[in-house]
Amino acid sequence: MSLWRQFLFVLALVSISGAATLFGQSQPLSDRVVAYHIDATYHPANHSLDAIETLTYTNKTGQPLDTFPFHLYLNAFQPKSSFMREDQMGGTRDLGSGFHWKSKYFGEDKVKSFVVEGMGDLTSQIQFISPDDGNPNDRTVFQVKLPKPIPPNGTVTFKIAFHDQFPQVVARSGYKRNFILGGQWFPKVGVWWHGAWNCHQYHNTTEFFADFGTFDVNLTLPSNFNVGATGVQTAEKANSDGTKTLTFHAQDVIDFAWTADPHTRIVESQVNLSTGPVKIRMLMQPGHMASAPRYLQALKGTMKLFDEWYGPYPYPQITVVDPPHGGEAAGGMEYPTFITADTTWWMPKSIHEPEIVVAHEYGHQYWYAMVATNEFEDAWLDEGINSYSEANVMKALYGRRHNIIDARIGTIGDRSMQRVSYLADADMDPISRMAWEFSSYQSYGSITYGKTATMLFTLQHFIGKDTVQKALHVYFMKYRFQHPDGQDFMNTVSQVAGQNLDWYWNQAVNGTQTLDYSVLSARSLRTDWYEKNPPPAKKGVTMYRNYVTVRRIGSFIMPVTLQVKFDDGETVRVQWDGQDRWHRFMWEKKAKLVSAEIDPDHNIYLDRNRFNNSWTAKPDTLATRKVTFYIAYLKQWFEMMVAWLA
Amino acid sequence: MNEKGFVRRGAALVWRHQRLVWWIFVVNYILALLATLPERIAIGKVLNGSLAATPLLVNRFDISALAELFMRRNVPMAALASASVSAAFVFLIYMVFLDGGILTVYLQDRKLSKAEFFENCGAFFWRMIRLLLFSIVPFGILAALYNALNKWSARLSRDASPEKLGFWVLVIGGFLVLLVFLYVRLWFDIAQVRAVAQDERGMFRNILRSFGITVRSLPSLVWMYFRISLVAWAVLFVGLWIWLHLPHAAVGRSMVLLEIVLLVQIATRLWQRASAINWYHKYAADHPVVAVEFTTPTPAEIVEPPAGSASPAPETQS
Repeated sequence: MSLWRQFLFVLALVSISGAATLFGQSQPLSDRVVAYHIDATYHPANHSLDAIETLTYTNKTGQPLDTFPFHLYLNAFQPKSSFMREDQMGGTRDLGSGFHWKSKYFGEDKVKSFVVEGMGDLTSQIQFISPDDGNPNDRTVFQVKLPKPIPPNGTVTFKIAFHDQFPQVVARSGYKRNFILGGQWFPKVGVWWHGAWNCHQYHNTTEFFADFGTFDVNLTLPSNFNVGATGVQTAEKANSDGTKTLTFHAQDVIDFAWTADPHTRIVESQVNLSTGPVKIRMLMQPGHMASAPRYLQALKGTMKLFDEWYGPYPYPQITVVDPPHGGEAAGGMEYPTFITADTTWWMPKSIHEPEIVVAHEYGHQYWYAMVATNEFEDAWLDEGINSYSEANVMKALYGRRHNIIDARIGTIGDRSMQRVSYLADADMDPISRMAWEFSSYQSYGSITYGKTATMLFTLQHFIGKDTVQKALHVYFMKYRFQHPDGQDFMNTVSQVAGQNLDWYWNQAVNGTQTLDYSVLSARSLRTDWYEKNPPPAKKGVTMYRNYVTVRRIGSFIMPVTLQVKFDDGETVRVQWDGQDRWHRFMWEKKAKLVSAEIDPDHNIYLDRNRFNNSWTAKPDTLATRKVTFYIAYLKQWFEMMVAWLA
Repeated sequence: MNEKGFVRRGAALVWRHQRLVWWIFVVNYILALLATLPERIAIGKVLNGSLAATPLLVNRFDISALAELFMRRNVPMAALASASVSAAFVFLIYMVFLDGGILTVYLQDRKLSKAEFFENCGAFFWRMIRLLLFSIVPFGILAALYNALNKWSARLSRDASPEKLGFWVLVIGGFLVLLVFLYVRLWFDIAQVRAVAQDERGMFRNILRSFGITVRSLPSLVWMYFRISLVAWAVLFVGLWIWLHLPHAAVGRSMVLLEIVLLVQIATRLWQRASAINWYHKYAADHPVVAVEFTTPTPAEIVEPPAGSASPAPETQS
């Protein structure tokens, strides 16, 4: 069977199985390792919460388990946590390094009691561990050793009473005035992955990792609050004390988040996808209503494109939360069937920030929520692939070159932005590095988002854009509701492409090699140079030896194309394997060189310097004049401003 | 004559002596060009031979390409920018130097010979420097005030319940700071005029008197400066609007247009000063300096003692 037929066969199989699973909703979509039932009461006066969590864990590891680790993510917002320690050094999301952590930014997740059904109260057995850095003061992970192991396929039920103190939001979770985003708010069991527990501490650069399961959450809070949450609301009960209790159900998801705010306005809509209608529920800040149509347009467009490109969205609803002013740190975050957006009251139409945030966060429904990769260890699989998908969505919806900023003064496209982001720290860390081991938050962002997206755009050059898209489709259909790793992704792409791409992965993903090819020099020399009295040079008559020397400046090796133009109008393209540090091409012709350019189709986005990819016989100074004029003009104004003192 | 008259006559004064505007503009332009020379060389090395430059930066303006250019190690923008600080300092000194000459031209409303002009520039230079140094105090206070306002506005934007409160605080507060800023500028402009017109030498005393003079006519004077500023801002706004509607590749037209905008800014600044001089003329006419009469003391007569006699202490006679 040819590779193409093999691919079609696999595609047909996964499509059929996918459709069968989706339409037969009685069948679980995931293996449902966990079942959480949480009764929580939120106290808006002091932004705290008390809850009782009942977690039923099914041991599908194939071996007995007697130790269970749990995340307590909110404890990252404690002064001695690894998160804060690392933030002081390298910054974190929304915060620069050295942020002054006032007490209002402190948060806590305190386990009041820990009971295991049939084994008694094991609260005293709670032991905080720091598997990543040994920080004895970090309390983001604890483990409990059970008196007796849980056999394979056996279940265990934990009853955990806990108290949350939410921080004023600085990173993903917390409150701002009356608004609250309840993210990473309950004790969450680790994931048995690759034959061991995987339960990392919460770091300044890390996100999350969890098992699939069901969530039934009863949330009690004042009755004037509008609430949004993962899954769908199934019941609402008014209480005599002026509160209400809302019940939410979600299944085949890896997490549960919620938001509440008395001021938000609800905007509802619907989008029709291949699986049927999906309800869109948006909780908008009153001052941001102008952005509501923009969110909706971007969200619907993105949902349709993901449905078409990668696979079906199997949930009945998606909730979009618009955080309030000052609470932007809660924006741009993803949870299953629940995303947070970002806008301002003054957001110009020429800046597509509301659109790009929605496109990105919705993309995480695929690359994080369904293909539930380990965000601690393989952050590129969710953030990076998602940045690539987002750039494609933005291009499809808003055009290629101006889909982020579309102003008269200038434009920025998503693809170019990802590339510039990558350039900022191109060789600091490999893509495949564990998230908390990056040199800084900036490097984490630059490499995980920017480099991964740029790497995939460059890959299109070798295997074709359609093949990359098909590979992502196959990868999604094959690994949705699972926990694949980087190797799974690379193997899938190589299989779909029908070629061994290890040379590429080794350099682009696992290495820090930088890619920079340049035209070092070009010359046209007369062949009759030795004549004492050579005839005057005549176009089309005089014979020249035309030399073009190309150079590999970076350590990343890949084949490149060189395009050469001559003054007789001929254009020649040649290939160079790029192995050596340099290579000289020569053409003997009755024509002189006009220009030489490496990567003439501009497909190698990983090239760190695209300005040195070419040479021209006649330098064109217009770009230099334009740029330097603007710089000079700004300096003229600066002089004027200072002279105002005179 | 009312404020309208001062402003109109100020414009006429600037127009009649427009050579001053051109000189300021040319020096401003040349200094900026010189300060941009290192960038021009560095950027030229990167862009002049690149086929990517024109499509990205001329035919359109790709901001990410510009960012990419400035990220190149051989285009160290931060280091190169230091030249602009030096250029701005030189331009400031140049303007302080010209102050005496410009004010003399406007006060006398006649074309001075080069020698006369530069003689006046030199004659008043150190007084203008002293005024400049004194002016740093109120301008510094205003800058600190604006900085505090900015921080307060940012805090309100973040924490206050009404979302636009911080914005309006900044707009209204910023406007008030601007008015005070205009007043301070005007105050020191009048001090400069007095230094030249009255040949005042005590600059601290001059500042105090100028304050007394200007504060009495504060609303009308600030309104005079504000109106001229409005013209400057309108020209800036219209110029930028036209520029934004020019094709990206129209580099030459953009340059001409933007330089005209800057030329107008320089002209309006001189217009303010010329208007202030007109106002001061009127003020001086309305408030003539009362001559203080005093008796010139008769020189003391010293009676020489006869030679050889005892020499008592000399006596003075009045």
